[in-house]
Amino acid sequence: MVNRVFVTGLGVISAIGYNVAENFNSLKSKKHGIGKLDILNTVHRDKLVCGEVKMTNEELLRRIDLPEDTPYPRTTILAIHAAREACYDAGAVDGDSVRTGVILGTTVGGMDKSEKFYRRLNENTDFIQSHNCGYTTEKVADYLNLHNFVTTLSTACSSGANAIMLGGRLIRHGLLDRVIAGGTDSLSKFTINGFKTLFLLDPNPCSPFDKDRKGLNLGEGAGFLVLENERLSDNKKRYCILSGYANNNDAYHQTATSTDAKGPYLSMKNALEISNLKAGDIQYVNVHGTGTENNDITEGLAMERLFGGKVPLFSSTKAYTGHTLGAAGALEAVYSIMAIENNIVFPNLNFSKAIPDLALSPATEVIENAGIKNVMSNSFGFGGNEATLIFSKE
Amino acid sequence: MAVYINGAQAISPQDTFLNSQIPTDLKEYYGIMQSILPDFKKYFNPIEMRRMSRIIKFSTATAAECIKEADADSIDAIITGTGLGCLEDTQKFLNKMLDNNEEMLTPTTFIQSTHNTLGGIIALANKCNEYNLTYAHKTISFESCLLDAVLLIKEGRKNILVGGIDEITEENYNLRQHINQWKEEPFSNLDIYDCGTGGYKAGEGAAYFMISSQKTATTYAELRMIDLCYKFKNSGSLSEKIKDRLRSAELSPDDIDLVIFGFNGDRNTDVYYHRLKDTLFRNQDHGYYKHYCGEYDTSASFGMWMATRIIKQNHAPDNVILGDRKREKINNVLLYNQEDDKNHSFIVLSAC
Repeated sequence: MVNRVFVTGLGVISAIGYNVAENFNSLKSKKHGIGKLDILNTVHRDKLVCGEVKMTNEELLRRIDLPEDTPYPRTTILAIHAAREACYDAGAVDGDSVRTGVILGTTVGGMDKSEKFYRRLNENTDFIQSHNCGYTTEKVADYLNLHNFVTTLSTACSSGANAIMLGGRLIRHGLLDRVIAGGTDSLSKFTINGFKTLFLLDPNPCSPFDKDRKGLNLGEGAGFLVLENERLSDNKKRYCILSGYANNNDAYHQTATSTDAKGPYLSMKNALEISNLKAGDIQYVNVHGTGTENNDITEGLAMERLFGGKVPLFSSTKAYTGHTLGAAGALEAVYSIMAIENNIVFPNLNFSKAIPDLALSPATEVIENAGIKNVMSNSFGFGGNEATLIFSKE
Repeated sequence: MAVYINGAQAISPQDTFLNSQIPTDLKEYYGIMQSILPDFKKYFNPIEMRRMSRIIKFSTATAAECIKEADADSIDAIITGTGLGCLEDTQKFLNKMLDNNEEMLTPTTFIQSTHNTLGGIIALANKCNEYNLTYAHKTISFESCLLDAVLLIKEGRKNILVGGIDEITEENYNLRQHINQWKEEPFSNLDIYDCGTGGYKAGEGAAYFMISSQKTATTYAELRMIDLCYKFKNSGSLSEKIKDRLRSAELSPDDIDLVIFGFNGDRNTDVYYHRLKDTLFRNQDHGYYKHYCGEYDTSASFGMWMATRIIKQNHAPDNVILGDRKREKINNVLLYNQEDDKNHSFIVLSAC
């Protein structure tokens, strides 16, 4: 396999902005999006903070030129919003004339709508068909007028990263020339309550990699990349190369990572192997860094094992956006590419003291001119599903 | 590079589990078609027996038997496909949340509700740290796994466990009745072919396969082709497109001896199969399988289970065959499934 995979378009929507430029400005000016919920109606709204996109479905639909009464779940609307931006950015608007795939990762699909109408069938039955994960992918493909290849994967919090990985592999194998790949998830009562029962939510803004971290904040959003082969991306702006990727399973526990961090270590190590890079070639790691007791210690241990005494600059951007679950890997892929494009490292907010068993401190201020050529992005999930992506400057 | 199927096991609404033959004495269902379950005590300890939902149990047991049958040196990836994932646990958590106004909830059903639970549990049981992915795209959830498995074999991996799993619950059945997805009851699964009415029979099941780079004593068939297409809109006729796809696997329509269609009894969907059956594939044998397993997102995996038996024994039972038999030897079987002119999938298995 010699085909290289280029990133030619970016799209993102999150609690810190409705597009790539707004997200970048927020990251650079340390402006986070964590706060009380205004849109989602849950009984817990006064007792927790989340990374919510502060527009109603109707407002978002207007922005993507769809009628306000379009019966899409919020997950779908967020996805179209980000996918459209990515395709415009790449000039990938020529429909079926190019062998194009649409690949999406999501965890609960149209749950935001299902939970609303599950007991109100006399008002709405649309949710029955929009509940499944593949629904959104097809709506994105339809919106972009693409009729070739679609598929959807669901690997909990690594879904978005796995979608990008599959997109890259299909191009490398020469089966597709272009892939619109990303992840999406909206906030839902289902996930908020699920994480609450696991005691994984910090009621205050989360503090990834801090000694006193108390859990994660949930968030919502979508991120998309346009991936293209060498020929298609010739003579157009190439942000970077998708140079490495790996997927491994921790095979330890349904919701917790192993104490020796085997899965996370393997996925980082194997991604490096694919990219033909050495550990020392990585200048920045956008860590999974959820802010939970378990994730941050094991991810830190895995990094120490992989990088030895020379762990590169790293930060978690989840204190900005919250943990956006199926979207996280895609959102953070966009941020990792921004880091290469702008030669910058984004800070890890709310960090004050290092975890005692780790000699690791994340970047806490914006670092410019950081010589960023290769960036690693981690996404780890329930079910032991670990994924790592590496993006490299051409 | 050839790709082989070295293990194939299925739990379904028929007597298929650990069966080397396609059953010919079909069980008749007038309503929902649920799987015939083995005694799970052999596969799970008492805690697992209590905690695990039906789908987790029938998925895990099927996978265990497939792994045992293939007896491979290693499992280099686990890929599961499921349209709706762990429906029962999802419903339980959702209902409790709605009943109790988001209070007094416990985590077990939430943890077990995610789609990737099925693949995660198999990884855990086999201590498999390798590639692990779950596809959840409606009727191509299973075929997406197959495609990925072929890529992984080309990338140098040897044995890939691939499964298609979905469950149907009473609650989900009743829910989908509101959008008229099902046949009006009572309606027998044995009558779905050419019945002239709308709706289909609700089914479920698990089918697991060991996809391998090496031919072994347990090989059923070669996986010759796996291809997917979202919509054929604006891209020529269905026949032309299929010829095109077959050509990419160095096959012509005439090479195909048996076409197994996804007939599910819904006249709106079945019209596409009829058209091909009477034109492009008029010189081939024709078969179907959804009267065995019902319709569900990963039912194509049951079709492939059936095809492994047909190829290995060079024979398809009368229950499977539609119309006259024209071919003596079944070398190449094409499985074709689609969903309302969307998500077309093509799988070719070849004798080897």
